[in-house]
Amino acid sequence: MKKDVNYLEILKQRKPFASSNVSDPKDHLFPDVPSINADIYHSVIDLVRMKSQNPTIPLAALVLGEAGYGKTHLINRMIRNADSYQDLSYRVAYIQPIEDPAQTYSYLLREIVTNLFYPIKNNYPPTIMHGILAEIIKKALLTATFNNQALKKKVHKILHNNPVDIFYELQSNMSLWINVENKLKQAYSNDCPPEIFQVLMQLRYSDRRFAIIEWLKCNTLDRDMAEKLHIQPANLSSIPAKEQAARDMIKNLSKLIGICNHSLLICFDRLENLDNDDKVQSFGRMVTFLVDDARAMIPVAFCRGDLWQNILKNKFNRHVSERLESNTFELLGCDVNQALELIASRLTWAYGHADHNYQPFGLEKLEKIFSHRLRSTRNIIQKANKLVIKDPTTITPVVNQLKEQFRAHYQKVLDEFDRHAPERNRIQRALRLFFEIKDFSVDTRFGDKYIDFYFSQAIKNTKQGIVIIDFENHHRAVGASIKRGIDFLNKNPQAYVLYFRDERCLLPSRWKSTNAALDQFKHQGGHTLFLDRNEAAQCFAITLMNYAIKEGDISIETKADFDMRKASIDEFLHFLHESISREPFTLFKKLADILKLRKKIHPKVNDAATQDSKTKNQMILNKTIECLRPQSMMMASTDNILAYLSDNHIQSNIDELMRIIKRFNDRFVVHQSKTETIIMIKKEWMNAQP
Amino acid sequence: MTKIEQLIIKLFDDQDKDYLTLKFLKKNSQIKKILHLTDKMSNTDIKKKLLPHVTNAIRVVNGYKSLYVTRNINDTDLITNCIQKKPCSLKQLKVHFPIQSKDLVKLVSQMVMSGQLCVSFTVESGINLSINVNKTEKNKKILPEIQTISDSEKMKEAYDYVGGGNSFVRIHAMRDYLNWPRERFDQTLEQLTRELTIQLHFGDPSVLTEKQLKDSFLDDEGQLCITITWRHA
Repeated sequence: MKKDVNYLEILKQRKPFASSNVSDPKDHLFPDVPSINADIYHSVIDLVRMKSQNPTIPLAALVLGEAGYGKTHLINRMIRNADSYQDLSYRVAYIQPIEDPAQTYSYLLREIVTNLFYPIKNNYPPTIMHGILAEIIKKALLTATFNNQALKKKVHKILHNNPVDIFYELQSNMSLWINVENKLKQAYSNDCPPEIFQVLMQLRYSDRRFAIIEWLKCNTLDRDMAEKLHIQPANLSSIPAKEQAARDMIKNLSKLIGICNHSLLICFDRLENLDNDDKVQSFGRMVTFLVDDARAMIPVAFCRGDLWQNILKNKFNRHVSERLESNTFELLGCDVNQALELIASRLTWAYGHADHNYQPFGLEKLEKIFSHRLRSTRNIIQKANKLVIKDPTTITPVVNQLKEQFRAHYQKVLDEFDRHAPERNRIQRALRLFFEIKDFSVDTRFGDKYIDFYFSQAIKNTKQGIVIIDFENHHRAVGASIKRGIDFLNKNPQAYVLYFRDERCLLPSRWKSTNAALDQFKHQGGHTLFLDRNEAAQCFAITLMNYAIKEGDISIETKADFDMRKASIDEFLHFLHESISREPFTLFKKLADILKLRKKIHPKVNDAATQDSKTKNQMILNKTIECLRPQSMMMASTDNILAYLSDNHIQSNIDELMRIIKRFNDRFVVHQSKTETIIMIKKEWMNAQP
Repeated sequence: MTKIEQLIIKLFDDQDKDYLTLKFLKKNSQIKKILHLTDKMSNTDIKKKLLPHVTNAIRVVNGYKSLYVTRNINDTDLITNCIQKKPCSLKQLKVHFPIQSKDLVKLVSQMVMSGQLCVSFTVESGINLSINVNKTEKNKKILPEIQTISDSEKMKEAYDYVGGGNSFVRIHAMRDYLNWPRERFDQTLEQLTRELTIQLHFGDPSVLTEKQLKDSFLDDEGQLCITITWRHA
């Protein structure tokens, strides 16, 4: 058996407890522990089974659990196990929170289509959509008559072994595909419009995949794309028309999924990000629509218990909350046995074998830690991590930890870049964050669908402008966006107009008038930013990390007692503020250059002034602790602390106080209450001298 | 709280009610003006106009043959407050009440079963509902503690009452309900945690006020806990 020190070295290298977050439910890095929340998992699977047997039953579900109790992990388990049932076929779509409530159904459709085009397995080209279609084709071809017996034998062999291979092994057999298409159109003429089969059969050509996806998302296709797919381009210029088209397409996809007796679990996670009533109502509309009109789909909402029961539930009309609550499941904390199982599984992963007997911790020590209360899975992993990190000096500053986590998010987006289709709302959120941390005020209620937001410098109001993010594929829509930019520049020649486009949808040279308009836009001082792969990935990573922070899904290590806690939104903004104009944020560096933003230079102060400042800081620190100690829970609002300081003849302000509190973050916890900022002394400092 | 919410809360206070029909809002000139209500507007139209102004102070609900606006309190509190003002029969209660009859009957049954409501019989009006004085918040504070019920059981009672059927129950509300000395409440919570009867949850402090945070709970690891769930509820 290895020595403890060797075990510890392996753990420090492999870091099995460093991450307690499942920020992406499609990650399968660590092994699953099936006994944790097993009942809830099986209950959800039972619902899927019920749906498969009787697709007309309207079903929805709600999974409640506070941060760290395994909501995203449960989705991860359902994705992991999707292929492990003989008698059941289901897939999972993971829906990120909506940004633009005006486009409820278009957004839902885009998210569903993106999920349907995830690969069935890593490094394997066929997607979930290929799998669904292959099942439908299998149904049609197994009973078909063939003139060519050799072809029949080959087709049956493929359909028997791995049906998705039909898209690759018989790609060039035109007569077979025409035959299949006609059969499907005829067999399912009551379920789906014939156009859907005509388009989807072309999935066998990989170079048409982008156009197919755009068509499924009801995005307007240009003439070339439409010709490639042999369809008439639809003209969906108004938002209501797009919304209706999106509803119809979701229904069609649902029927398609239902034809092969599959179910699609539509998982809505991170409901914390529904931060205004419009978004809440938009989510309610999605749930109602899916339950009533998309019969092969089951919406499942994952939400914190307190948030749901005391806030969100009251905002929905009763038929939304009743639909979801008809199947409510509550995630449970882990007892000592489950805690041990979880730790053992991570140790086995780290060592590569199960013969570790809980080394280097030892069973007795772990039982002592985990036996006296129920804990969330995240809390167990964090406790185990604390046992590995024994030297607090090795803990890096929060901003650097967030930088590391950002790099991981960014790298992940880059690795799966094809799965992150150009998504205007996510780019918009990242850009808004940039402007906000650079002290601009941002107004999104501009009342023009082509303009994303207006920005102006909050303090001096010397710099202002608009941001246009345009991912349209039709020359008319693109021309209209550019025209908005030119019009704005005509009215405000000093303003900044920033026009963003993804490099994946560049303007074709044959769009002569559109290109001429773009030249005019540039000539008049407009700025065009064509996001390359790295720049788009930076924006996606910022937005996804922002969602995760709001959910409480990003943990950081702190020096105090080597503990871990949730990163706050303030810390995330601070990290962005410190890093956003540097590597790897090349896009934001470019933006800062365009807007001529300079980093503030702090004037040097002389030694005497520095000494005075240090003395004052120490006094504020001491008096703050003195103020908090007699308080209930040793907490008080910043207003009360400042009043106490003033009574003790120390003049300070909120900025100075918060700067000192943040500097001594090993001693204080900052909570943002409903109305004020609350400062609390940490447990380990409750009795210590300042 | 939005301006409209403030006006509606004032309207509740003036009318000494916890709820009103949406149509009633048209009678208030200020509300009518801000929401641009017209006399011909239906309840659904009023709801559409009102919802953007609703945050956490009021709720819009579907009740007896109409839409209602209520204070943002539990359904059980709505029932308790109404019966406390005037004991009545279930039949009388359900008319013009902001809870649909089916749900109301279910809730009243639960409250009768848990002893929050008393049932009495009269020749004139049949079955009458009234408040069980031993269970009301006003009276419980001055009543001597019944020694036969353990603190754990009382805590469970508070959990059921405050939660009103919800499982994630806020600690500050239970503390408020029980009104025990701090040490007694904290010790009982710690004991139930050790026995694995309850789960403590950190939750989101930003939805609470400073007082509510101070009335929450600091666990033995120094973490601020906001809600509990009862594992064997």
